[in-house]
Amino acid sequence: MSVLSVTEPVERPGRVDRLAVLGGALIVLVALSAVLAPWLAPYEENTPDPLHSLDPPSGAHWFGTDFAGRDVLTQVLYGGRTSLTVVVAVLTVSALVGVTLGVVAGYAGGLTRDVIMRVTDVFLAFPALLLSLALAVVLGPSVTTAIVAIAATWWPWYARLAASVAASVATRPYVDAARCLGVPAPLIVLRHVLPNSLTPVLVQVSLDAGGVILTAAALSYLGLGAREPVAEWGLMVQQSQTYFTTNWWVVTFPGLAILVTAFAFNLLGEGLRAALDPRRVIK
Amino acid sequence: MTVPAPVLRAERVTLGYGRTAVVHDVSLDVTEGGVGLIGESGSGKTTLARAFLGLLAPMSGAIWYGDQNLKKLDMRRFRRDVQPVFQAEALDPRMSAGASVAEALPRKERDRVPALLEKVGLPAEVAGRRPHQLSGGQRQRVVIARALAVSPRLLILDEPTSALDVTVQARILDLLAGLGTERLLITHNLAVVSRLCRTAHVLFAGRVVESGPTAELLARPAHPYTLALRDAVPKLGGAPPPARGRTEARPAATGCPFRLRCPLAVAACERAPEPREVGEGRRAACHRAEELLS
Repeated sequence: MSVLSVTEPVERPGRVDRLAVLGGALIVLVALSAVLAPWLAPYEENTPDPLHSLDPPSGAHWFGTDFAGRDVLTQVLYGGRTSLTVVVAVLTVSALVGVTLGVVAGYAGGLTRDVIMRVTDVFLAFPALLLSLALAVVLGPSVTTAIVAIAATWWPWYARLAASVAASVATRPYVDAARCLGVPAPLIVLRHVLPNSLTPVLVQVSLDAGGVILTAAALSYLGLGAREPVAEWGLMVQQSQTYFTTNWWVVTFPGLAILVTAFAFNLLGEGLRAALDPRRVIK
Repeated sequence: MTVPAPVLRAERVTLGYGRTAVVHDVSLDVTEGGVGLIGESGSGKTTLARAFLGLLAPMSGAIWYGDQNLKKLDMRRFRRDVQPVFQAEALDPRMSAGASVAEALPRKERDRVPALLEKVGLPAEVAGRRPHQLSGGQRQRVVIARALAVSPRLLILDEPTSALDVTVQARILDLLAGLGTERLLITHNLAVVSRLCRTAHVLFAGRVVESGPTAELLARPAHPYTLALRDAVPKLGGAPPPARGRTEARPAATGCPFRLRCPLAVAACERAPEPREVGEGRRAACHRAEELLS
């Protein structure tokens, strides 16, 4: 495209950070291992073997077995499917809803901002677990219920963040200049306000991946999210925590899976922040 | 001799944010030959400029464009006629210079961008660069090129040279002086006003305290604040100018707003002075204006 395009930048924002590449690669690795679980897992999913309950890591069971004798490596691989689905679904829905409402509130100001932010406050004030309980009663406990419940209490944070950044961007002289050129408000939001407000939200989204996994685990623990026989990392940690002092592997490996995934998202977020900075020096 | 009609007119305009007024009951005309708004930070210059641009509605009073109230005007025409030139930072950091200028043009006219950049003394290659890859002077030229893209009748220049070094300032002033558009210049730089504006208005605490032909106003100020501003300009090789009065004092809430800083303040200044004629084409809001002029 020529240099005269308004919508397409002439030059890419910046080279992708090496740490972001590492984060992206780790996420792809985790996602692939979850997708390919039926081929990679050494045992069938969710196959109890009481004779081998709480076996330590060995050649037969690399990550050991849990209290029901299930192979922990198999459960971790299958659990990635549920956990990643929850993370991606919750963060996507929350970010889309939160950023859309936040940017509109921040740019429009006045009554529009007041109405959107008060609705946001109501959602923030509502206890997440109470909302989840209510949803579980209506929808029945399941992974979908957990996704809806977490997203319903997660988006207001993004709305608040996006609104404050967008309100600041809306006062920049380049936004005033666009108004003075007669550029329609929706186009100003899409062209100037949204791109210049996204960076902190993207970083926050990437930092929240670990939190979403743990919240999903808490819901599963209360019987409102993933339930047996579905494998899920948070559920595995919750079910096995009583054995942690005597059988370290039952909590450590699903915990490590959560840690690596959260770390990978954090790396990706940090890399994105750096890559999206328009002032970044291109080496 | 007939006096040309003002391009823009503020009629007893009060402006503010929320319920707080920052510009009080200001009336002034933007006439041909360039008009300068002079004042320190916080005096309400930029707020007034935003109102003239139709970005801020008056709390009371009216802004007129020709014989039409801005509130009832077809803003599409007004947007083509009146354009801002903000400081060099008025470019979207994510957009190339070319894209910023192209935003002002209809899609089919975007091939005019290189010509517009050339008009402000920039090579066409600059179009592909982002603001942080340009010097302050180049950024300011891009801002001017964007404003010129719609062939405006009036440019509202808000501190267009304050972030630039003196040599770049001189080139930008040359450029602005040669554009052939009407201009309302907002600045705290008296030299820039005397270069570009036939008429000047001095603002203090959101009120016009003095108006008149720029050359006369700066040569023989009729208000102690104008005098203080003029005398505060450092002279090359000379001693630093002494501060007149209590420069740190806040504007007075009653009476003359300048009285707490004014070295000439008298008891009468506790009563707010109304702006009045103090000479041909000159107005000042000071009880002692005649004494200052004599």
